[in-house]
Amino acid sequence: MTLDWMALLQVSLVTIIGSVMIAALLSLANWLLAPLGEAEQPTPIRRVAGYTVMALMVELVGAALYLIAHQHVARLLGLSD
Amino acid sequence: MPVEAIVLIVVLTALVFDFTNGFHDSANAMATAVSAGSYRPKQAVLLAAVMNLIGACLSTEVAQTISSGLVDDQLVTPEMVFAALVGAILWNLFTWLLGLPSSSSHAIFGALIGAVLVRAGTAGVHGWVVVSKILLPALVAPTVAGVAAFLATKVAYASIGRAHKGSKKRFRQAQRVSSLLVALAHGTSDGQKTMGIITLVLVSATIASGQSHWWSAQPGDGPHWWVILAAGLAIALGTYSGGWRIMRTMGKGMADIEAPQGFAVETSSMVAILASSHFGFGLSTTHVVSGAVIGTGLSRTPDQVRWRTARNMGFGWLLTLPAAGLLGAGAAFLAEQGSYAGFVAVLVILVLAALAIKLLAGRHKVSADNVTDSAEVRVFGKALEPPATPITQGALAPVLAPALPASTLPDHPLSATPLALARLKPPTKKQRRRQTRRPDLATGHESATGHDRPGADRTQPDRTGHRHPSDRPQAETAQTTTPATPDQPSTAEPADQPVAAAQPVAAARPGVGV
Repeated sequence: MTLDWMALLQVSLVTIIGSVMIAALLSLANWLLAPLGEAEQPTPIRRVAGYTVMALMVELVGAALYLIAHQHVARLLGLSD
Repeated sequence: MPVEAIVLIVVLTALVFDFTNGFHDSANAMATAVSAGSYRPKQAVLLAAVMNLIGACLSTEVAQTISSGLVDDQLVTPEMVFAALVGAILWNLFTWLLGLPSSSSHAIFGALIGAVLVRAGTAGVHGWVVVSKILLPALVAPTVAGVAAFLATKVAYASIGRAHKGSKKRFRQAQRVSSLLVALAHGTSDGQKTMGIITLVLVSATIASGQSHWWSAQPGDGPHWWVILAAGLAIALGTYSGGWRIMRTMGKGMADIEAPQGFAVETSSMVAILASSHFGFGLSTTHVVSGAVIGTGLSRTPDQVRWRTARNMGFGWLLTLPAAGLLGAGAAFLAEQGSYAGFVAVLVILVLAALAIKLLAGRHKVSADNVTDSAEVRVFGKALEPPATPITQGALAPVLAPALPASTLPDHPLSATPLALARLKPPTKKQRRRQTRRPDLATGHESATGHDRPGADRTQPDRTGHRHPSDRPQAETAQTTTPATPDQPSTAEPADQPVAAAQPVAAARPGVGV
């Protein structure tokens, strides 16, 4: 039996890239939703962009969970072998 | 003893281990969220329990690593698995007592390896699987999670520097979601370990009995649906019971965590645990989260990390595999003595040890109410006691303390009256209004002192120069107790104290309070 270096490398890369990407998306959304200068509220365009980025982040996390769970859930429900 | 009875006992013990795993590791998901104020403690453990249950139903890769990869399931007997579970439970309880976030996963792996080595020899353990699926990830995972948390924290704080003050609120909201996802990942990873252990028992019992039962399992099989459900429920219940001692260490002991840091910790931990579970690595969630907490602490300022706690934890990590292995080996040796006497003896030892640890933990109890009050978890030393009767701190202390120590002072007769019971509750708005309207200074009646307000210092004289009635000797209070207001009947009359004895304080103690 050989050590599965590839799997270990994949886990490490997914962890680092995934975490930084999620943090970056939230930071970007946070920056977009923050008012600039003396303004009390962000402009409508920034607000739409901020919530779009947040939605993208949620979608990414949801897709990752789906990828992990779908085979097992399908197997439990008898939808595939 | 019929094989069904042994299987039942071992499965129940496995569920107890799963319960201890839950309360031992509930801190992994929620400690940073609780210490950063994103969730209240009780709220946090309830949500974590639900997410653990869902997570336990999402994957079985790790379960198969344990049931068919780590040890040779043809050589394993239910007694060996039982001994392993006992060793792991004892180690979990011991580290919980110390507030040490050690790995439940390594505890069960170590105990299983120890038990199998004693009874089946080296042929029973797949050494290469131990190295590749357990030892190596144990070294790599905390490092990777720490690096990921370090970078994620840098990125998170980059936007806060220029942004609105509401940023931290947004990160706190994000942390609420990310901590739930860590709980989900924990269920996915750790819930499976018990499933794997139970499946291993079922396989070994099937081989030993040579018959097919409704619970039978063959080598290489995944867990039954009822095993998945039972393990998920056990870990969820354990999580809900809350491992407050470990939560204190994780949330406060290693570094002071703010919401953006908590978000970074949880995101990196969640990604690492889910990715590892997908590849079947028996990862320790405790190691991952601890590595991430240190990473985020280093990212802000290295001074923020409490290296003494981190060093203790590292020592605990190194010790877990061999210590749990020794416990498992000892239990396995004892369990196979006699026909079933050894088995029963191990069970009795487990129960007695668990009770002793519970009693010791009660001396310095950590609960949802005080989990964030301190960074220290105490075990030995003088037990915490409620504050002493404040008579020794007040104006009469020099006179009374030498003759009557605080612990021996008789309680005031009022302590058994409804008034004393009412003091346990904070006053309602109506009562507070009455207190503020009360003409205490004009009448000189002592009951209008505001001592009963929440937070009032009963040890100090109030603005009228009086101390709380229960803090004075009987003779003095009997003379000064009066109804609170004319329209409020006195509940303060002891049966043997005449109402007529009540006197205005100004009259009883000239020169005071007027």
